[in-house]
Amino acid sequence: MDGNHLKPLSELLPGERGVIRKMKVRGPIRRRLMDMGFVSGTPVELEKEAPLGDPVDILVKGCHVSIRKEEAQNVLIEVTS
Amino acid sequence: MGKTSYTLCIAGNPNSGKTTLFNALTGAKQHVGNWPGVTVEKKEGKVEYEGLTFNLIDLPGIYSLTAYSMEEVVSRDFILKERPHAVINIVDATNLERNLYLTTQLLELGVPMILVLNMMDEAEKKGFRIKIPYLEKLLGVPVIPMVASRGEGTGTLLRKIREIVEGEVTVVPRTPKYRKEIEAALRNIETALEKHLSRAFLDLYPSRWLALKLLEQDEEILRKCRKEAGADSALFSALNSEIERITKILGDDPETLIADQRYGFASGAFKEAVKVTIQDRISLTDQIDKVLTSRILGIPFFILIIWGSFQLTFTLGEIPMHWIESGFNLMGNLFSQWITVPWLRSLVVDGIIGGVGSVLVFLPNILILFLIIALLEDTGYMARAAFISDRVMHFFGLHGKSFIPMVIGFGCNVPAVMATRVLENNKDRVITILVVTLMSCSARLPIYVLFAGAFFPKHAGNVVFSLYLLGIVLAIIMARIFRIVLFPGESAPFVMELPPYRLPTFKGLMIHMWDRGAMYVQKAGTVILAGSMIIWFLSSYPAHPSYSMNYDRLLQQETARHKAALAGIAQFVKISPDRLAAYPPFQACEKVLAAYRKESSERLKKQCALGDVAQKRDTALHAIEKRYPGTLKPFRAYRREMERHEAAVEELLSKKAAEKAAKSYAGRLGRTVAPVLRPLGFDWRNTIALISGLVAKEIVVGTMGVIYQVGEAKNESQKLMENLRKHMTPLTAYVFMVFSLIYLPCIATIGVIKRELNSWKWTIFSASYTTVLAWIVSFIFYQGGRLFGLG
Repeated sequence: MDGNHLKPLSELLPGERGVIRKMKVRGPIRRRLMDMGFVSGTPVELEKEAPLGDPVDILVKGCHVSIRKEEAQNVLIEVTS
Repeated sequence: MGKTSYTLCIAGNPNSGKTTLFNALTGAKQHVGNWPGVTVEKKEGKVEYEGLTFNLIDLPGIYSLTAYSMEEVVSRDFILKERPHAVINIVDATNLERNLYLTTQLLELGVPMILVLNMMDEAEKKGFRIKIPYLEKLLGVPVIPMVASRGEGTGTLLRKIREIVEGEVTVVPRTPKYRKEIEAALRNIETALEKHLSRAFLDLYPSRWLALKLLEQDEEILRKCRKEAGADSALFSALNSEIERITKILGDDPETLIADQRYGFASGAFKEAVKVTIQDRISLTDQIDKVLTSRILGIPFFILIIWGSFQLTFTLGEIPMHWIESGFNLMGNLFSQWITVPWLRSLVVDGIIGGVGSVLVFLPNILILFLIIALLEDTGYMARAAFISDRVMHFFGLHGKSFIPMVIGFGCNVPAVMATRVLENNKDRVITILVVTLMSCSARLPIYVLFAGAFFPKHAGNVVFSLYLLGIVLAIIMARIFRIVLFPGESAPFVMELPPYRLPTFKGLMIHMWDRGAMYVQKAGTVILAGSMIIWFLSSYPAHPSYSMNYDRLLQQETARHKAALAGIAQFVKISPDRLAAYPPFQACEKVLAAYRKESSERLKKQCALGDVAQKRDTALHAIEKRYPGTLKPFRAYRREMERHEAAVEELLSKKAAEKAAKSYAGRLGRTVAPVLRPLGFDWRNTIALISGLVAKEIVVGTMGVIYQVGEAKNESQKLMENLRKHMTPLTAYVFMVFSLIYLPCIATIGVIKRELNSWKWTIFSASYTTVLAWIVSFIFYQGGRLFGLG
């Protein structure tokens, strides 16, 4: 996998989709994100941003999960559409 | 006969319908408590089924069985230590894949399990065809379809539970097999475990699970093993070399690899057992969210919903409030007739009924507020509220989820502190608890109503609103300061599920509302009852202080003067003095005056001119004069005398009572502390009221009533307001409200903070910082106000 194709999840536009390729997140939040379905190989979609621009609503494994952009920044994805 | 009582537990993701199932099975037979040592709620209930008793425990909603949160640790400890006869794992069938991740981990615990597929109706609508027998084979556990909100499937579930606990069916859960490198590592660790840990310890946990947890570097299990084997045991060097080896070969740490494979197992089971017939249908939730969390309408709706909740709480709550108020008044009157011993009568009527009544009056408000909060939570809007407000909350050093306790804080700080349990991170919890007490709870409202009504009658609404606003602003400032000073560094992450919108069940709402309402009643019944009695005692004793004047003699003198005056009037109209009140011409005049008073006060209310009403009165009086000549002159003298006497007696009684209050224990205490509060413009009376407010802020108003000796006046609150205006300026009144808002939350809140944070340090900090802050802010307001020539 060429790292150049990867893009932080936080930079997706609403409605854009991709597949998680790398979890750069560290610490306890990494485990929490994994528990919520953020593991590599999982397709995700950035559903929308909150009215004030942060956090974002991510569709993962059929669930809506809200995370802040500062965390989404460390989830690298390969854009599919 | 074997034993007929079995322990069961329900485990599942938040929003999977866990509580709905629990309510459906147990009905009202529930007991809410706490898990020992932690502040996670523990719900227990009993189910009677075919002669068997099932003790049902509702485990907290969790996503995983790691050591990420207290909830997760509590859940897995319960299953491992208590060894329930069966675990009921409830999953949201519309969201099966993600939910099965927890199922995988539960299977690894190796206990008998039943999988409940909840919300089957919605899953079918979503186009999921779930092959249940196939899923049963894949997981090795019975699978039961259900619609918990309608109670569908509970019968089958109970039958299956009976079959399992009675041993008619054996359940052998199937667990995921990991990649061969990990399996090899697990085997090596298991061997090391046998070597380095005691039998007794190993018997507590399934050895494969223990090895998995060590490989995952689970802090909780690592800590336990270190304690058992010693931190320098060869076990850990063996473990670390396994972890290093795996990381080197597979290029990722074991924790991630294990999670990946659990998801692999879950999604494998999902793909094999579920056929999805409809693709990508836009759900109702998405459609609602298009409006409620949209960029443009999201915030207006958010504000509208919060504002509407408050409007509803206070307008709807006002009606039963009046009933309760009159109920307590009636009770007070009855008791004061029954009890003849004066001190006991005073204790019961003024102390107990008065004190508890003043608190229970707010019960309707509180119940409505909790009902609305339950509604917002159960529909799924609360999560959206956190989603919308996180940006702002995060900026101020809080968390989107802090928003929920903050809102509850407006109702009552006690459940608000308890509601901080939704926050997973301890730092967030501490900060939220510290500032949540600045949310102006409904107990402070009576203080505002009294003072704003007395001093700012035309702007009462704005004044009260300004206090709520001040509380919010202070909370924000303090949160930011605490985040910087107390917990510098990284803030806690915000990862939260936005569950689908759902129609809540009536039963669920009621149970939710009552659980919290009961806490408030409990506070009224215990802390406030005791507090009211203490305040009553302090302000009523010593019963006979040495007065500066002989009030009793002055009263006698006044009575004698009054009698003589009446005798003079009686002589004039030529009847005996004691029959003056029943003298027909006088009675006729009194009737006219009474009618005039009634009519004119109605006019005043409607703000109409009084001209013709006064004329009507004069015409009627002249008619009487015509019928009984020579009546009006003595009647006017009689009226004047009666009024003069009443006023004189009341003044003497009030003076006596006020002096008694000043010389009571409470008065002495107030005078001692008063110098500290003098720079804020408060006198000893204000000080006493504030001290009594430590018990519960509601009490402040009642204490004011006692100190300012409203006495037996007919229109109590009017009288109190008049007296307040005599002793305070609008500026001191406002500063008094500001101080009441900020200083130490009531004893009940302090007690709950201690219980929730389990730390005296934070409890004392909370109590003292609020009081210091109250002093500083009040000082600024008072001295600033004086600079601008107010007060």
